[in-house]
Amino acid sequence: MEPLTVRLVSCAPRSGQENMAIDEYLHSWHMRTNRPFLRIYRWSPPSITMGRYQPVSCLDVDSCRARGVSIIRRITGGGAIYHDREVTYSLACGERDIDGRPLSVVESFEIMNKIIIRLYRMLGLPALFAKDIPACRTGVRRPDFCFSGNEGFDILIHGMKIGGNAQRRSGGSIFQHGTIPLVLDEERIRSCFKIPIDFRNFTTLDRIAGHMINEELVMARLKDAFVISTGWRLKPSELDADEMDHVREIMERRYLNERWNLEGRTEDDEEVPAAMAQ
Amino acid sequence: MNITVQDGYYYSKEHEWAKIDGKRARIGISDYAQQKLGDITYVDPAQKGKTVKQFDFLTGIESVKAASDIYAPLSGAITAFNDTLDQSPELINQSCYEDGWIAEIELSDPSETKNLMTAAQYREYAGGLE
Repeated sequence: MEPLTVRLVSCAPRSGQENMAIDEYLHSWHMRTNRPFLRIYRWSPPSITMGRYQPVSCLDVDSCRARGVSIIRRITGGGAIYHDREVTYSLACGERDIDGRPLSVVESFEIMNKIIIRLYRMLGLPALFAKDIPACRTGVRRPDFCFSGNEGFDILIHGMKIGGNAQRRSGGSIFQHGTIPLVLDEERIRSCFKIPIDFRNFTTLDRIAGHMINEELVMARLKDAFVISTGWRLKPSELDADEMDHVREIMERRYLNERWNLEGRTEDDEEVPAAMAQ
Repeated sequence: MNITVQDGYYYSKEHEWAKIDGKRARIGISDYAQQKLGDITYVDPAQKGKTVKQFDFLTGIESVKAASDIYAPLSGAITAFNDTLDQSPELINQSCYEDGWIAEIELSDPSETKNLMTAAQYREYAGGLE
């Protein structure tokens, strides 16, 4: 059987608003074309993303603003993530593209996250699923801070969670976001959240390796891990000018809109059109 | 995968069901869908008065760490949302055809049921997906 060809998009570091608008555009591109994509990217300046249906009550919004940390709402589920020096991926494919059958949410997380475990092992780090560690407590429902809770398919190194993953499911497609943190600024994170965060429960690549890990190396290994794990053929194809126009339109309508970012609604959102909400 | 299909209901390919009562329909998701989604943690309240078209987005639901779209199996105006799901979204896992219903719709075109499957058709359809 021919290997699946996957559009590969790699972008320079961008703002949170641009990153989420590009992901939403690529999600709609996938829904329209049924073609899978993998995007690998970074962030500048730091941002916090909120889960699709997560209230912002866990955040100190004023402190975030004072420190120049944008708050942006994702289209995927899960809890808040602080993005700074990290490698992030987004991927969309059909429910049957991975295993030939429609995968449940848990099955798809497990298969996708195995790819990320492979990445960590390629970097020499002993990553495991939380469910494979007997003493690890799993199943905390949507923690406010993503890295504070463990689902069975979350990834741990030396008993500490590393990174986070979340999905959007629509019309027979799987869209997954995931983060591979290199460094976390504890002081800045504490100042942005109203809730207590125990930094002993999670880790980063630099901390676990004991030295700085090059972002380019992580991005290259992430591509390798996807290709080796899936047999997919990655075909680089950056966003063209027309596509960037769509991205800017999405960014204006949604990710630069405080109502979307803080409440999860927009005035002209197709999910809750204002005219219908009267 | 063993699934339960409720007789007398209509079903969409996206695994929503509709129970017709005159010009109204109660709507939810099938046993197949709730099993695929896993533990449901949140259902976004469908807005009363909002009109929806058949097979368009109705509301969102979160399970594990996935936000999923629920589509309207029939066109009409939303007249009710199951408010008990606010505190107990797991009702969908426990009783997807009864206590875990999601919304009620005043139908704008009851003949749209011709685009849906009967229980027997859906049983065959869902069984063939695995």
